[in-house]
Amino acid sequence: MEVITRPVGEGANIDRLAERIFHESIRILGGLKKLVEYRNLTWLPSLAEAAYVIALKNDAVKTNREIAEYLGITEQTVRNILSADERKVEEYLRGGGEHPEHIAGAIAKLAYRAIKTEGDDV
Amino acid sequence: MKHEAYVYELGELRERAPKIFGIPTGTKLDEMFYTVVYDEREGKYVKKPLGGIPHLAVMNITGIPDTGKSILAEQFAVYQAARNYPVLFITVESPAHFLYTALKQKAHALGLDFETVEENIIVIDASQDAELRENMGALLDTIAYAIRRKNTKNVVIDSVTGLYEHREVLARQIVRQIFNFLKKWSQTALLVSQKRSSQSSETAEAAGGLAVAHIVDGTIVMDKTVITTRWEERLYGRKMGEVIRTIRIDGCRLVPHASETYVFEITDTGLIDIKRPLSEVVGGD
Repeated sequence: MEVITRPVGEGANIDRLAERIFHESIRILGGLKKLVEYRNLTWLPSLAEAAYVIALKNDAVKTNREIAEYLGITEQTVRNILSADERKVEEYLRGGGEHPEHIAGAIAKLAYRAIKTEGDDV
Repeated sequence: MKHEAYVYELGELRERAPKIFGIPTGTKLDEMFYTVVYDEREGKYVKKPLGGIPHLAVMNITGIPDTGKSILAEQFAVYQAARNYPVLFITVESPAHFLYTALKQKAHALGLDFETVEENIIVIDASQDAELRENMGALLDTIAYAIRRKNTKNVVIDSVTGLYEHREVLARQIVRQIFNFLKKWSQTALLVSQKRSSQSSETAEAAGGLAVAHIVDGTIVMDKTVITTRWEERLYGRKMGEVIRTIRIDGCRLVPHASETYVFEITDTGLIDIKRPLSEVVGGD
């Protein structure tokens, strides 16, 4: 009888998942070079933070309070990230619409969905 | 995936609709789920025992401590494994080496070949690893790995409550994720969930509480009563201090089922032996 005693696979590592969300977010935004060219490098810390929030919420199934404590941010920031409107942000990035709230949150959510759809065996 | 992908014409689902048949548990529970077939000779629809829990059902087994939930889950695992249907057993409470002993005892008591059982069971020991219990992503990835590795058809989680202890607010979300995951991987599953003794067996909480019962395909409630009054002695035909154990199916959305409460015993060899409806027992054995 085979016994598995340790986690197996990518979901086992929230850090690795957050990194993947972060990288996918940069890809969605057109790549790192584009961020440099458009002087948008200041987005990166917010993207990193949002990537962790999305990973912890969806894969580790943590509460908003747990996430806030884990990352050292406020619960309101966690809520803002989780409630960011992906459609509005997509529209804004295509050049239309008003500047939406929490772009990083929406991008991280899009990135997470893309990762899960792409390697959708989990 | 675009949301449109989740919209179907009813006819498009014909090929994807699962066939309804029973996955035996090795107990009389197999006769408590029915299917309804048309009898041409009789010219009417008749009930036929399904022969097990419905194929691809995700069932919840719930009850207070010492009602036989784990025994039923283990008996199911051993019975399926002996029939060469691989089983993934996720132990959240009992360490894997204790589970091994329990499964071995069950196999011997049932007269099953333990070598075959051993070959067909893969275990995830979440009892010793907090990450497996508290990081749903880690657990689901590990389950996916085990399902692929052994090509399992059945999954047992004992207990799913252990995955949300101290954060019950997340119970529904966690059970929903597990339910969807097991459906996606086409597994027939038993999820053991623990009921507090303060939740009486006829209430919705008896089905696991926290809306767990609304998510899964059906619930099996196991209960016990210790005979402590003369009235109960007469009612159940049992002696003072004896225990009367009951089992009932508290809803199943996939197939019809017995609506009576049945009396069962845990045998000396540690097996579930379902006897007859409680209504037949009441008033003298």
